[in-house]
Amino acid sequence: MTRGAGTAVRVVLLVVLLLPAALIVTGSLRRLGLPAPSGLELLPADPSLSSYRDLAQRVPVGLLLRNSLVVTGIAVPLTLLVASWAGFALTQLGERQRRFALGAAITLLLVPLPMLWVARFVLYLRLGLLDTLVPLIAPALAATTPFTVLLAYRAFRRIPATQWEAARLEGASAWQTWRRIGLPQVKATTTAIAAIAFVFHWGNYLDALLYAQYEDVRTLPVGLAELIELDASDQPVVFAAAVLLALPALLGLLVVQRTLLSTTDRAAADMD
Amino acid sequence: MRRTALLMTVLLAAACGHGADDPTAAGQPSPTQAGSSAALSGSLRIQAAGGEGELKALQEVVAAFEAANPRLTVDFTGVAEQGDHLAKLTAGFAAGNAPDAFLLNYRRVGAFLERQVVDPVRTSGVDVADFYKAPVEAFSRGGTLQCLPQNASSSVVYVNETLFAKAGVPLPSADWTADDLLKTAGALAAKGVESIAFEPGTRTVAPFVWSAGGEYVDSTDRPTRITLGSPEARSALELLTQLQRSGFDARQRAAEDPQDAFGAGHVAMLVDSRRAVPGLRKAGVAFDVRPLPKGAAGSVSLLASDGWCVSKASKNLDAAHAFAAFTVGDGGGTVLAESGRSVPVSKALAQSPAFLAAHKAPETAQVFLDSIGTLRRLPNVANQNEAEGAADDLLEQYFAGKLPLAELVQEVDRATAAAYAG
Amino acid sequence: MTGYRAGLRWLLLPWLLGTLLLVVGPALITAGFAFTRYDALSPPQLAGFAVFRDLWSDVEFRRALVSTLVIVALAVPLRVGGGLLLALLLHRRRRLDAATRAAAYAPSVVPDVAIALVWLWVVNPVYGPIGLITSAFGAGIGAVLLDPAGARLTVVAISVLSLGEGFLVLLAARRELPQPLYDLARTEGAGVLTEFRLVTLPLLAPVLGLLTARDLVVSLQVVMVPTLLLTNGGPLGATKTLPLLAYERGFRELELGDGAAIALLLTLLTGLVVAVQFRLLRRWNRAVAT
Repeated sequence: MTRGAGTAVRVVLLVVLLLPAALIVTGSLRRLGLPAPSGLELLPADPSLSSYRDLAQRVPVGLLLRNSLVVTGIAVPLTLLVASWAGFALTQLGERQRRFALGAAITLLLVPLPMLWVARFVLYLRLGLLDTLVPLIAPALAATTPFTVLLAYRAFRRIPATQWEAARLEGASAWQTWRRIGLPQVKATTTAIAAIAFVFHWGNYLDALLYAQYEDVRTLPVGLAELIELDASDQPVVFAAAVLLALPALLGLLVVQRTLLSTTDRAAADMD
Repeated sequence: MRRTALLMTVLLAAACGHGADDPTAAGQPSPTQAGSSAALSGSLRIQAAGGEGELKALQEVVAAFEAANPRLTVDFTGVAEQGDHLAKLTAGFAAGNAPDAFLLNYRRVGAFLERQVVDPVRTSGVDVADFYKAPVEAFSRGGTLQCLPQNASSSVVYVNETLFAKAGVPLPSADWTADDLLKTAGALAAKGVESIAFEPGTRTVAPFVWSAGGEYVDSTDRPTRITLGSPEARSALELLTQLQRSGFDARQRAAEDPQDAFGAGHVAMLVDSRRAVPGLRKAGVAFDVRPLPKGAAGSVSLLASDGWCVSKASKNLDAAHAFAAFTVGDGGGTVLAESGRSVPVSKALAQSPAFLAAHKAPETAQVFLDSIGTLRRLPNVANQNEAEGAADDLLEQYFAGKLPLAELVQEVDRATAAAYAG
Repeated sequence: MTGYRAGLRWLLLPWLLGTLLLVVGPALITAGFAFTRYDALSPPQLAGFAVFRDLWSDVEFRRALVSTLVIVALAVPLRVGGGLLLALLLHRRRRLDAATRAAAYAPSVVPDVAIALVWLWVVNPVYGPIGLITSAFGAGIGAVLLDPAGARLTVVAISVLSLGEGFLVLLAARRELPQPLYDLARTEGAGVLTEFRLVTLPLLAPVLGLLTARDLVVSLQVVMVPTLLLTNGGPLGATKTLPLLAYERGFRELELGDGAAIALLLTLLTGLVVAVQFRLLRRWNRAVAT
């Protein structure tokens, strides 16, 4: 394939993927109360933020946002710690333990989620945790997804084992070695894990649907899902909701895109 | 007179915060007595589903109830979609965390009665004798009133006065026939106006089948299947199919909900119950209502009624029952009647200016009251919701032209028999 | 020395405990619930295999099984194939590299609920983009979500658009393939297709196998919430996949035993397909090696 064709493919792909996104953002700026547009409108003639104001009147955005921030604020650091510790430990434990843990992590990626629902429901029910934010944060205890542990393991493995040995000989504990020698060298992967955790917890609708239904624990996805009932004449409000939900996740992607999108990529991994 | 006095009590309570604390201030025992009783305290959780206008009206009622009971805090959860409402309630009961009182349509109440989670209505403070009969029956099980009906609405035809005038088609008369409906629709379509929109499900089909002289369900008390095979039912379906040709078809319904389309002035007629009114008022469309057209069996409409159920497990049973009573009594009932959402179950309230208020559309609100006499209802058994769901899915396919009539009849029979059998 | 190793175990412990408590434990317990009837209001009743017999004679379950197989059969090859195609088109480092990768990955990070909100507009036959464009050419579309095939295709499309993860893995794998092999193929005069068949495919086969296995699970998972919000499993069960049915039975109708049984059957089915697939892959590898 020639150089020009490669660039052309990229341009086409960008347009195909970015055009709908642009239409959604500009669509959210259309003034409310106008009839639905009868054609594709790249930019509304008279852009306004009225749809966002209307959104704030329809759903308690402040409350939803606060709950979402509490969940991500706890779940993201928790995921980081759990995944990073586990990944770090796995690089230095015995071969058999390592193989077992890594094998388990990969097997767990193949367990369908419905397999967990009923028992988790009963667990939360017995512990009196239904309709609290705990079921939304809990997945972070298991590193949110085994993938984050695998990523952390991969990053720590790149650091020469001699560094661990040196630290150990100097009498450093495992925790100190992780904190002072390991962690500073895997910043890019740490950011990537944070991004993965954020994307999951920010958009987590399913766990809320299953275990936390009520008003004061509703998060942003739960509150905004109700707007699916709105009609074509309120389309700008629906777009505004989609933008509000998607923007933080996409910003997260942009901030870490060099590292997240490259952690599986040898060249970029060298940055760790 | 009595109502005015009581309204004053409520308002005073709201203004002074303590007015209702004095038990002698409320005067004679009456529906609102329970609502403004001084003894109520603690907290109360209420849940209901509905459109924007409905929920707003209910929030006003909650605010009025709170004002009348200053030592009680009420937490109101409004849900946009019926399915979510039911799912939330189900989960709430499983988690031992259900709301104290919740609003349900009588067609969906069966499953909750079956599970024995509902505390039957306490009729002390409520003048049930003054209620219309149909909704009381709909919420009764074993001779006991289980949930307190809040409204008694019926399916009617909404007409857009502006679009009729523009097309030069005269508004239909109150005693029109199915044939008149077809002709009106045709005349509108000839002038390039979308004639009529309706939901392609039980709520529309059942009253048309009844008007044609057929049965929609084989038995109201012990239903075993939904029946669309009779010549009457087939003729009703045929009529609706013909109407769809000059009006909103499946593609347009997918683009725009019938009620919203009518509110936006995209269609001249709409088949719906009273629940459409708050939204239509807000949309600012000039509309009025007509009864459903007469078929071979006259004009028969479908009862639409929601009732307040109280959770047996509620820790504040007194307050929960008092709230239910408040919403149908003069205090809350008036707010609801004025919002346009509800046709009151109380005859006295229904005849009051709050409901019949001429300055607000629909002008001929009396239509809703007149059709209460011709109302029929659907069963309230445990599996009613599943049976209707199964039938509605198939009807939707039929009206989208994807299922021939013969197959529809057969499939509805099979699917609803399975659903009712549980 | 032992202190250090003990410290390592302490660091591993949170993840092990969390996984045990929230994944392994629940999976085993759910398997147990699969043999009961349980409505969360009264204690579970042991029902044994009767639960599965009832499911097998349940029209809705059979329909869900078919819908699941159809959607997976369409979505998985398109997701893995699409990811592979993108990876092969984009593996050379060029201008716009970062931007393109970000754009291809972006749909995968957008929350489910936002995806559902947007797709409702996409398939709106009058106001949506597809309707508007096709109408401009005098064609137009019908009510997509009322049509069983249309609704299934919508679900498949949503699944395919979130192929970002697979794309990234394949991109990395392709970039690690040794260039000399390609140079050799080139000097032998191999065309693009021959090169793909003889060099790229055999070398990427293990990664493709793993991705396909994971996609059996993920392709259903990523569409669960959008399907729930857009079609609720309709029309006539065309998009009611097994996860959706498990949710509906378990949590809407409070038949938690049924929900667990459906989940268990889904898991066994997935395991079976993965096992068959790996066996085929191994045989194919041996055939290529010899």
